[in-house]
This record gives sequence, C-alpha cells and structure tokens, in this order.
Amino acid sequence: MAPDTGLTSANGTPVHEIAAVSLRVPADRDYVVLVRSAAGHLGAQLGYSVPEILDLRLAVDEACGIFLAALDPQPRSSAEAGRSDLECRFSISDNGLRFRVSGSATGVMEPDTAGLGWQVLSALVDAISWGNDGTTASMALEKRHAPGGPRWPT
Amino acid sequence: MSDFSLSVTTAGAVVTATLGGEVDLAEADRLWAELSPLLTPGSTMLVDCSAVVFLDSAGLRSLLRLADQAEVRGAQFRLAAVSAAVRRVLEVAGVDRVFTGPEDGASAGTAL
Repeated sequence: MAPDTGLTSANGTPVHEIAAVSLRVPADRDYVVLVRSAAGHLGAQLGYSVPEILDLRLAVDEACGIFLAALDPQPRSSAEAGRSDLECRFSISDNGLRFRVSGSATGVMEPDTAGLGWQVLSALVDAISWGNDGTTASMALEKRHAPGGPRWPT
Repeated sequence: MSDFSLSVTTAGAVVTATLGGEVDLAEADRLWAELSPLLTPGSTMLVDCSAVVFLDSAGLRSLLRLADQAEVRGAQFRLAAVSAAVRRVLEVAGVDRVFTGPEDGASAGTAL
C-alpha cells in the first residue's frame, strides 16, 4: 500500500501518494539551492504554470530557510556546527504536492512565525505544519491542486 | 553554488548596483556587506534587479536593511528595475510600496 502522504482531501480522508522524490543535503544555507531546484523541476513535470513554479520554488526555499534558522539562529557552516543533514521529501498525489524537510531535533528552537520568511511562505501555500518529537524536527508545506488541476504524468 | 552576480558602477554621487541570478539566503549577507559601505551621505544607490531570477525573504531582508541604512546615513536608495520574480516576492511580502522613488510622490528624504 502506498504510504500515507499526510495530505488530506477536502472531506478529510487521506490521499495516497503517486510519486516521491527525496533529497538529503547538509544543513547549510549554501545547499538550499539544490532543494528549490528540485522543486522547480517537479513543478514543471506536474504541468504547473511558470508563476506557479516560481511560487513553489520560493515556498520550498522559505521552508528550508525557516527550518535552518530554527536549527541554529546563528548559522555557521555545517562543518563548524557539526549539524546533521536535512532530509527533504517531495510527495506528489492527485491532490497536490507536499514538501517536508526534517533533521535532528538537537538544539532546535521554535520556527520564527513572526518573520518575513513565514509571512512569505504562508501566502504561497495551503498548509504549513511543524513537528518536533525530541529526536526529529520537521516542517511541511502543502500545495493543493483544484480537481482537474495539474496531474503527475502517467 | 547558486548563481549570483553583483557589479557596481559609480557616476558622481550615483552608485548603480546590478544584481543578477539568485539572491537567496546563501548570498544575502554578502549583498549587505558589499553594498552597505557604499551608502554615503548625499549619495544615491540604484539597484537594478532586472536580471534577478530568484529572490527570497533573506535577500529581501538585505534590501530592506540597505533601505533603512540609507535613510540613517542620508543617502537615497531605490530599486531601479525589477524582474517578475522580484516583483512577486515584494508583493507577497507586502513591501511593494516601500521601494518607491521620488517620482512616485514619496518625500525626497525617504525615497527608497
């Protein structure tokens, strides 16, 4: 059975995943470009319009930025900080796209929900979630399609 | 790793900074560090962002800091040209009205 993406349809039932892309990068600002590049290509594959692709890349970038800032409000290089990696996962379903970034919860603060990054992200996506179970911290965003909207090619 | 370019030309008291490529959280500090020393009293800094293909809140924060610093130092600061990507971020962040020049009716002392 396909794993539950965590996305829900309008009536609250879970939606199943069609495809997933995972990327693991050092928890360092210099590598966020790779994650948003992946988002851009996935958006194109989903048939998003150019403005939608721009918005998706920006949203994913902001989520990574917010997450990195929560990891370490005084960012240094990942080599100095000895940080674990960022696990990034794009999950595509008929309902939309979900992006999740996670990492070690050691030293993780609350996300800056008053900051410019959060404001920008909130305007671009349908849902944002934050989790921290003491071992792993994560942040996810959902961008839902309207029925009949973009489809993953079959 | 991201594609970022910054070049500066000076003509009298007018400094034109041309940004290109991706102005993101990896480059935002450099943007601030390179441009803030150029905000001298009485000078005007024009930032040409027409070749910027990506700008995030970190890059925007640096631009806003530069605008604030200009005001503190008695310099003018303005976005002279913006790409669609830059326009979108300004709009979404709700700061698109901040970067207006004197010709838009803002007072000369606070032109950004």
